[in-house]
Amino acid sequence: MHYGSLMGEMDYKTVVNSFSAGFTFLGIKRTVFTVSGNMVMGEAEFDPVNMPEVSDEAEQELEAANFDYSEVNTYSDLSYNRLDLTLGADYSIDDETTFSAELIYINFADDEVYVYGDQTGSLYVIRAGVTFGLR
Amino acid sequence: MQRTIKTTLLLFVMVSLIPVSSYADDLVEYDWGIYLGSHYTGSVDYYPRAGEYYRSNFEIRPEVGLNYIGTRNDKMLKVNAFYYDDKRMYLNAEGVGGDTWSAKLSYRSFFHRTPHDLLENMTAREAVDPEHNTPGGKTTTHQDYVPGAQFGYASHQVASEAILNLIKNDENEVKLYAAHKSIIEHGDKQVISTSHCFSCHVESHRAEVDLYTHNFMGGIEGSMGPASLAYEFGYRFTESRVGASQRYFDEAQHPIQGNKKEEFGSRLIYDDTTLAVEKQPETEKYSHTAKIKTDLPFGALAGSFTHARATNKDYGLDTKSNGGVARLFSRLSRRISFVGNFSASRIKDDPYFVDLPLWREDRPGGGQDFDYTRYSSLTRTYFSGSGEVIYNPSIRYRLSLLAGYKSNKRDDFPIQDAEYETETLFGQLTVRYRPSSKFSGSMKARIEQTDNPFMTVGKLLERRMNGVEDPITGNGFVYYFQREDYKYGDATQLPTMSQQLQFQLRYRPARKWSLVGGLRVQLDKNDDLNTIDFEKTVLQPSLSTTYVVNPSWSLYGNFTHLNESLNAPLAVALFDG
Repeated sequence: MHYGSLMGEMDYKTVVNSFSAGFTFLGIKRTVFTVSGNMVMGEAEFDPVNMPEVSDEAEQELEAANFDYSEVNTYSDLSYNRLDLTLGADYSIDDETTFSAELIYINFADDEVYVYGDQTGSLYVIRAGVTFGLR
Repeated sequence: MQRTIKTTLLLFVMVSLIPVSSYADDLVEYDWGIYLGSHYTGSVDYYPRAGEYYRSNFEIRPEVGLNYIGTRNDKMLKVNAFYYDDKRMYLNAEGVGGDTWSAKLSYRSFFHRTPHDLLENMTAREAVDPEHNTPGGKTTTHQDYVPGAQFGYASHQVASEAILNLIKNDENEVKLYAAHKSIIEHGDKQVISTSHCFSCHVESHRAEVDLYTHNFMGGIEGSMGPASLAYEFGYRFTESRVGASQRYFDEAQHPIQGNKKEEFGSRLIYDDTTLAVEKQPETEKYSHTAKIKTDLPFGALAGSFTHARATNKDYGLDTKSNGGVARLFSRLSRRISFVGNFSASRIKDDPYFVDLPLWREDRPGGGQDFDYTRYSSLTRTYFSGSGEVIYNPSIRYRLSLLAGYKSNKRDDFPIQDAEYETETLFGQLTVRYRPSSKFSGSMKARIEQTDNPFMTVGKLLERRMNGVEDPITGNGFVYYFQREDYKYGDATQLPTMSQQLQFQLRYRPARKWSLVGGLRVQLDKNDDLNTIDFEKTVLQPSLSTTYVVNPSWSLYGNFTHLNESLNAPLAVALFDG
């Protein structure tokens, strides 16, 4: 048996806030400090859907079907935030030689788990090195 | 290939390190720097998402960098290279031989992790007793053959460019150029495929990635006085050097009882067999472009014409296109100018004949022939034209008014020879105002009115079937394909009316402090559908600031908020079987 289609409307809302900030400080004795950061916070969700009532006839004939659509709007919920932070320092030992150090920190917080599972976690990178120059 | 790239780059770096030889009267200057360092990468909890572009974990790796620039008279060589790890490095090299020639070479690689769909949402089963939620009936299952796998690929991009100036003086210039860009991807990826109809059985497999895309361009450009002419040839091809992934497609059977294999098998194109899935086609594209530009007594005119042919070599399918653009600039008076833009193109995409086995062959009421020809909605004729009047009364004000028309006629959409035409009228007003060096502002308002935006035509909903209008002879059942005649309802998220407004204000309270505020508002609407009234709203304010405290301190900050809402239909067909 075929009883035609049911149709409801769903509203989908996406909200994303992103902040970025940084500063550079030329310190004393040939030192340069830099800090930069970026944070993105995103959320997306459907509002609950209002599906029309299924006729008694269809509900009776299609008893194996599930007509509960109250959870459908939650299937695509997204909520996450990501922080990227970089701290750097350069120290000029002389005109030709500079020592550099950098810390990179990235954090991802998955507040609504999607099809990839919980992806919450962070990564950090510590870098250091020396630049030699010649003119 | 990877070894060849690395060897080439190493040779290039070694050659670039050779000091520039000089003669007594030559003016020689050079500057170089070498960076030696290392990095340690660590993580907490699940790191592949946060470290999407980082390869190592809990490891110390060396880093090497090189910068070199050397000049001798009017010749210059510049090299900039960095090694982060074996999947992330870059090299940029540039050479200039005075006015005669110049060349560039670049290499860049990075690693990208791609996510792993766990398929855990691919589990469902009808309830034979909804009241007690007793499972039974039709089912969706999944199987991940590579649980816990982390997928990713390394991308290597090599590009080069060489320019040879045949003639170069104050009035005339003729140059030949050639350029190339290759993108090579190595790694693995997740392939998801489904056995369908009698049961939805979703499988996840690992597939190797070994994809090569090469672009070549060459041309000649010449300018004589106020006019210039150019011709450019382009060629691109893409090939995968690994075969398609394979999977076993389940044997057809009744989804609950597990019998009736002949009946259910006769409804499918294939079952109980192993076939290729997600095959990367081998493609190539040729293009020829001619360009002209000339000054006119009242302004300037520029135009180009391109003929291109792209081929899917696996199936011998061609997409041919011919198109041109023209731009006219005219100074109507000292303060008023006019810009006209015109574009027209014709794209023809080959149809493809899909040969299918007879449906339910030798079954009661079966034997239908569902062979069909797939006509592409890419086959189309496109035209656009616009005119913009710009009024520039002083350095403080700029006002422009733009109006235009676009037409996109698809020959075979939604069915063969239907000639579905999307037409858009648009208008735009732009104002810029700068009353002082401390304050400036701009505003842009745009409106677009579209007839027949691209949409799913008549397929969203189904009418109730009290029997069927054209029943199968000798069979009382109703089959899925018969539902096609009962479908109706259009769906799209493209608007018939779009209104956009943008503001930006810049303010400098002090010489070292600046503030920029912006606002974007967009209202899209389509109330021409026979299903829902589509609406989309976008609100995006932003604020940024920079502050130079003193020569030693500087700060910046940005904030952007995006709020987007739209509506969509949820349609469910009610039927059993």
